[in-house]
Amino acid sequence: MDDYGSDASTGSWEDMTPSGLMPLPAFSHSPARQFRSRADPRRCANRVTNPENFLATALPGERLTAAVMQNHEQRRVLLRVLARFGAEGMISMSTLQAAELFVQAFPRGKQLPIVAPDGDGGVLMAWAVPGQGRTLVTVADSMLFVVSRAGAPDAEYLPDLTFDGVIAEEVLAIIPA
Amino acid sequence: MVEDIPPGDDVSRYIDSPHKWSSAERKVIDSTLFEFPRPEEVESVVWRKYAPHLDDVHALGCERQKLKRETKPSWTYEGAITARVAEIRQLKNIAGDGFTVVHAPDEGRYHAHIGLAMAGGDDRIRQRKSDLKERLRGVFSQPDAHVCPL
Repeated sequence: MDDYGSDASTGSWEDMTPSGLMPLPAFSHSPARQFRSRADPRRCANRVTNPENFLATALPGERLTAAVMQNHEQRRVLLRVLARFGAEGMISMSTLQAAELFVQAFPRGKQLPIVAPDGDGGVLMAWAVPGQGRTLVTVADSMLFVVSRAGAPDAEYLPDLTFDGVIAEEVLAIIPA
Repeated sequence: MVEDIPPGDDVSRYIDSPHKWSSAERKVIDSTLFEFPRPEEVESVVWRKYAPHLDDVHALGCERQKLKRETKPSWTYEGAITARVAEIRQLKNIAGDGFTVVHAPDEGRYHAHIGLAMAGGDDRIRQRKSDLKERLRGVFSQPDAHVCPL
């Protein structure tokens, strides 16, 4: 990842642990579902997630390689960072829930974002796209606000998107693998 | 007294940890440099007319560290980044939104604000603001690091 933000590996927020978390129910994916970028609906009933339980189970048939374990760990850290934002009032609780759903729905084959509060109750997720500026996704309440090629002369502002747990293909298309 | 800030002047922004600086990676956290939090939607900078040398900026930063640590013990001044006022004011995103740089001496005669100057309309406003902030980061220098004396 390039020099951009509080990514999952920096540990910038690592000194704080989220409080008031509730455990998630155990879950399993069918092999077909692992290719859909949708969060498990049973998760939506939880108002707060426990990163430890969420990532304790590998996908069926998934080999626990070093890369898979690293991805698990990075997601866990990312969720803790988001929980910290919520606990400190930097993002709204509805945004926190949506951002957690986004991480849960995020395909494993894609690069995880760097995250930061956007100053307006939302959470900014950012990816550097080699040769194409940056992709910015702001999660605010149940909406996504997406910029492709941010900072570049040919930047594009996607229409406001409602987020219901499914990450739209047009968003996934501009997130690097 | 509020003064006009000439376009050829520089302004500097404090870099503090843990919010804007990653001690683990020894680098600026770009995403948090400029947030323009509501409701004012401004970010503070030091007008270099009243802090002409970098050491003057660092001295102000260390003063701020002392004040901030009364309520946030981990707040640490790490250095500053600098930009030319003209370059900030000339920035525009594809929707024509930009920035203002104005003197705000209520917090000291060196104090100025960068504000958002939105072109109008609410269509895709959040996207426009994120893109604007992205462009603003690009006109500031690499950080000049500093460690405050104990």
